[in-house]
Amino acid sequence: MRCKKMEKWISDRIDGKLSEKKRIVLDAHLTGCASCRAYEEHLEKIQDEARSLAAKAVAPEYWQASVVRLQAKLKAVADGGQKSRYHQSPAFFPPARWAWIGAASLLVVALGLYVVFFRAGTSQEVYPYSYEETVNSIYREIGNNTDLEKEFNSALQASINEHAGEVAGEVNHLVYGNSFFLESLSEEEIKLLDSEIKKELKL
Amino acid sequence: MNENMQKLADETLVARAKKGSIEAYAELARRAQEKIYYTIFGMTRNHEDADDLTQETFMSAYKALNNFKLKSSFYTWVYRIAVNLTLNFLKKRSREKGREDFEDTASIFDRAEYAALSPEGDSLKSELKEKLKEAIETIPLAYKAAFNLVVLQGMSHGRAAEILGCSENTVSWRMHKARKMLQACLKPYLEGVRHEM
Repeated sequence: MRCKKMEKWISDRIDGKLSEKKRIVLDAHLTGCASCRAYEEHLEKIQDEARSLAAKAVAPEYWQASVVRLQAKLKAVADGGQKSRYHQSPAFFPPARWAWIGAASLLVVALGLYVVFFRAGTSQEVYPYSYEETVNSIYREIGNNTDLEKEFNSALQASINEHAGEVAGEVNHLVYGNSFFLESLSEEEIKLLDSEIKKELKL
Repeated sequence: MNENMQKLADETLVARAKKGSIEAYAELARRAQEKIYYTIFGMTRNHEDADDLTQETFMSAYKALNNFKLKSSFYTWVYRIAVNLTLNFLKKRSREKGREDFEDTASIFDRAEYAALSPEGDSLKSELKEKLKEAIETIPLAYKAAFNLVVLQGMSHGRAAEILGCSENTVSWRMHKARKMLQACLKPYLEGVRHEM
């Protein structure tokens, strides 16, 4: 573990990044560690060889020729109308993106048509008649059959009573089941409610 | 080259180049090209590639010149473009060669490539320098870039960090790892070779 740390410090020292304090610790370690001494020697050899790889090998004329070539390219760009391509701000929608935008628009339109026609059509099919139309069509079917009419009326009345009971239950639950209901009413609303209850109870 | 241009400061040349002066931009390129070329060459080890990438670097920089806000020096900015272009080029080349150059460094010592570096594997390429060139080729690009800037170009960790877009500590760590990898694969050649001061 200690040697691994020292290896990092050896590398830092080669690059001149090791503090004086660490350098003293490293030197002390190297005195007693043959393995780290060998490692340091290897790194220094690699450093020397690597620097020799960076030797300048290009002829001086190359640099001048290189600038001339670059200048020619830049001029060609400027003269060929490509300058505007290089120096203008990028287009908001580069041409390649138009295909994607078109495809996305088509998808949105298709979804819109589906919702408007298919979904709306489905809901109309579920409720083709109104309540009145349904009842009237039944009465038309009953015609002059009084027994049948009586039977239907009583069934209808029972259904209305049942539904009214449910609604009344909901109202009762809303009014009496909610302890904050009365508190949420204004004084005028409470007076109105009071008068309606009295009227209902014939007080 | 216009002699007047040679007397102008970099900032002035950048301002003129932004207004469309090709001469001003060419002067900036002239001042930077040698360092840019050798930085690229250090990573590609090939003159043609380094030449092409140097030209591409300056063309790309010219293209993006209006985006350069002078937050760093022109050269740092161009260096960054050069390093990124070169890394992309090397990644592409590596993919084409079917080499797994970007895997975790942990497995680098296990690669079959290193077998070719052993003295028994190739007696013709016995010189350490040649082996070092080959070994540098095999280390992952992030480490190679750091090694190139610090050792071959003689940059400080801070300057290399600025160009590579990372912290100094990261550069320091990459240098350590790069050296460790190189030392591991060159060990047979380093044994017995005395370091010459």
